Amino acid sequence: MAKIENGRLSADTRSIRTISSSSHMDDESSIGSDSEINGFTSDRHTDKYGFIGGAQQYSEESAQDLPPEVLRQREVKWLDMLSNWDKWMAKRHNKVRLRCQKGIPPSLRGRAWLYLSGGKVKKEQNRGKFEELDSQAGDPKELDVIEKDLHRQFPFHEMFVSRGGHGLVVSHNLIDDPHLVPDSACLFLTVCSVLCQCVLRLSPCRQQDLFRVLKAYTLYRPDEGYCQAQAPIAAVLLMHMPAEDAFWGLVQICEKYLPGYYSAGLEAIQLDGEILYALMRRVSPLAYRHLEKHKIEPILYMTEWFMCAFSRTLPWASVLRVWDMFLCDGVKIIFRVGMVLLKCMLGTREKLKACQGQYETMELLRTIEPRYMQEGFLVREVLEVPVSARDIEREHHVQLKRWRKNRGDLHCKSPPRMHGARAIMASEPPSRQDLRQNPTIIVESQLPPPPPTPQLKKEEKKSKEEKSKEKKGKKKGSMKKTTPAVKDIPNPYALPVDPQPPLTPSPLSQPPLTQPLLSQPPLTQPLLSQPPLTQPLLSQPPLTQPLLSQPPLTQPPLSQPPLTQPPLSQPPLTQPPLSQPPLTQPPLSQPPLTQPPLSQPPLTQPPLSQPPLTQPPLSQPPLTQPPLSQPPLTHPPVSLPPVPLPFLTKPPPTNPPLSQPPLTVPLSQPLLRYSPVQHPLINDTPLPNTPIDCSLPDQPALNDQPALNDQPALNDQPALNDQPALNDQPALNGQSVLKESPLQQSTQSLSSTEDTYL
Amino acid sequence: MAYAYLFKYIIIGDTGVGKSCLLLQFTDKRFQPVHDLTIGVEFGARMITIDGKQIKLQIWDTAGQESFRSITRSYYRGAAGALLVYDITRRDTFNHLTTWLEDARQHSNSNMVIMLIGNKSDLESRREVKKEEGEAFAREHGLIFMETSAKTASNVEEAFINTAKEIYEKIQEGVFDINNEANGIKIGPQHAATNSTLSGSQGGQQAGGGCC
Repeated sequence: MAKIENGRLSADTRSIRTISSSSHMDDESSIGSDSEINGFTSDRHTDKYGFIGGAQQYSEESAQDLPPEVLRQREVKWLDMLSNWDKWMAKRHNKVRLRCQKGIPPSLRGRAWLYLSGGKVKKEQNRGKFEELDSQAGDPKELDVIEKDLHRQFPFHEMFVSRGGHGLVVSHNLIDDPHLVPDSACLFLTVCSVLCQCVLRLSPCRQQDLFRVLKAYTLYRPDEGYCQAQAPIAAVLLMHMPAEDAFWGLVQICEKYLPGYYSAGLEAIQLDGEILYALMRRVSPLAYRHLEKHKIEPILYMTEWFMCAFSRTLPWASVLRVWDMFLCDGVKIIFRVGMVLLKCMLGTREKLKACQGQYETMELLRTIEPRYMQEGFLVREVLEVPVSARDIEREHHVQLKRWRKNRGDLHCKSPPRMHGARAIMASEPPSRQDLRQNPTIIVESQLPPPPPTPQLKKEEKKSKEEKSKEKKGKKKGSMKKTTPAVKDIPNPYALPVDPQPPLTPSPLSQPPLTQPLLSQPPLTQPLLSQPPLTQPLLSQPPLTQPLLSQPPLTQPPLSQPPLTQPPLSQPPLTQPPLSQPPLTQPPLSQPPLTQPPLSQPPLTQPPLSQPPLTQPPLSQPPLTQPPLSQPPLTHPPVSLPPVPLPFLTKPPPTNPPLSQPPLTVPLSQPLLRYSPVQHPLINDTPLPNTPIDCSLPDQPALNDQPALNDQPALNDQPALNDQPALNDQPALNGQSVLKESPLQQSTQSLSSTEDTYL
Repeated sequence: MAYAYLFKYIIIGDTGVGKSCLLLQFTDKRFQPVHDLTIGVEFGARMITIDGKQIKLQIWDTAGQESFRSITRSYYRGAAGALLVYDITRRDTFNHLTTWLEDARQHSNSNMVIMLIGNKSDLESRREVKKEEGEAFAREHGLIFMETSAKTASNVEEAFINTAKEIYEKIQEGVFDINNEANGIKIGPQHAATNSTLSGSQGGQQAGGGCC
């Protein structure tokens, strides 16, 4: 009796184990016994967020799917915002907030989060810091704990499934995902977003990145060290951005959004628990009394919620939406989510009857009904909770007093909490340079335009490959190339590329790739082990090349004018491809193929030389690709070069640009230009068409500016600069009121509530 | 489901010693090496039978990292039993037992039954803490002791059930005031306050358990 077989199925219905993933993974329970952690991943379905086997509560019901047109419009808007971030934050912050509330397009989420959190600025102002920390040894004790935790962070997410593991399985799933099948002009966007995800997902060894980020943080803040609750935060960031970006995002969350949460003693989280509890009295007196009656301390139910920013509690679609709002508006979003859940679960007498007792209540709060966590429902409810940042600061003050009275002074003096992106930006004003979108690729010397013939050959090969449908990942790569015009997203992630000697063969594109590769040694190995992958990789180089082609695009201000000229330039990018035979029918495969080939020609040569050398690099390319893929997207122009040939007239112009100096110009500029270009296309229709954003356009004009002007003057500075406790609140109120008022006018219910309470 | 008594347990010990795995093995009879790190507290529950009585064990599984220590203290309240776990392959987890014990004694009621558990007994080749050392520590501090393996399930049932027996005996002896919920014991609807003798039979087989 003492020894019970591992895998024996339990019929014990008493178990209420609610570890986030386990309750959804019953069918896998026996798998884990002796097999390696990653032993079961290959044949498990991965959802569109990268979770395997339905972990993190994915279901069709839990997430909303947006029409591709809407998504694309949003992407264009976000690209514009990101290109002029300081202006948007200064003058149209309300709109930024509304767009965050609507959800950041998946393809741009990582970049947007980095901008919202101020991680972007921090990173720019501390160039080389992460590398420096990354190269240091770290405290062995901390590292030991971090090491032990690596496989315990979202263990059912493909990126973290196993250390050094590969994520190629994902790409298959992505391609198979019906949501990703382009059926319209959204092809590019769709592909782009897929590529963005692919790039990060393809990078093996995200556990290794997790280690690097966490370790770097312990070196960055040795006084704080490593707290286990930081790991899920870092992991969520890593799902959307490369390690360095994730590190700065983590820094911002730990220092600005949730200061003190991860410090010894966990005083800040306990204090916030008291604040949450106190605020519940107003939001749901019934729930409040129940918690009071059964002596259910907040620390019992809210620790994980708050410390992990709900990343381990909610269905993934909801996690992302909550984080969109959280990074824009700060901790009040976390409070509100907590209050919504408490209110929903404990807010009616009927429900309370069923949970008489502390444990029963705790059980209930550990198994929240899915309908309350559903993305649409939750976001709506969160926006209606009448709790503002000011309320939280006020209550913070009250609870702090109480704490001091009962327990003495806080041991950890945390910096003041920043309530959102705007406050953070005001506290650490960025220069334009800081906000500049980094060029994914710096073209210092371009190879002469590649001979067309090789490209053609490659194209043919690609087409064959596509037909064979052997490697989807590669195909995606090709898709990416075509899509670049649409999406600039990937670029943000792309690390600034330093031309590497080896790169010369495949000049521009590879360098960026190589770096990522270097950082992720484990990844490369896996790649090597997977012969099939390497081939794709080979094919990918062409993708990277697109980048090469892009630079020309960007540079050629000359070429752009034509592009900008509204119809002409755009059509070529988006429509033209579509209209072309290849695009329409087999849109996916052909477009990519055709364009890539074009861009590739130059690439092809390099690849050839590289193959031997690069293989490691080859494997890496996938990783770097993210950047690569993104640039292409943004640079639609890139695709153009190839396009031009088909198109007739334009091609010639593009080539010349390549040779021209403009190449040296950072991609960022090109990006900017592109975005405008895209806008014309999209904007024309979008604004009127998209009901979603419609409210925004109206308001901005009058309300936003006034609000902005008012705030900046007096309130903003005091609030930010002043000590958190008292001063901030008044300041906050003033600001919030001003800002929101415009929103309310917008007429949307959400905005209206937001106004009053923000 | 009706029960005669409800006992609240708490599982404590350093991070990575296998607390969550012990709980899962006990409640679900499975070993899952891949699981989320525990942040804050997790829960599990199971029915067992002792002396013919249905007893519901309500188990609180805590985060082990040092920085969570301050909040773990709030979980002690109202616990009737505690499983103090160390990893026999990591001596430092054994060395920290004293501080864990101090915490437990300080923040719980004095009658709380504490079971010392040396986990991962399947990893004999990597053992760093001898069984005798665990036994000596337990003797010295008045604890019950067992070595277990959450992976093979060895002694896992016994660890939880023997703790329950000990608590049950204390109830019979009148040591626990079962009317005070702060002691971690709750009388259930099914309670028939008559039986007094413990059946020494393996309390093991659980209600509803699909075990054999």
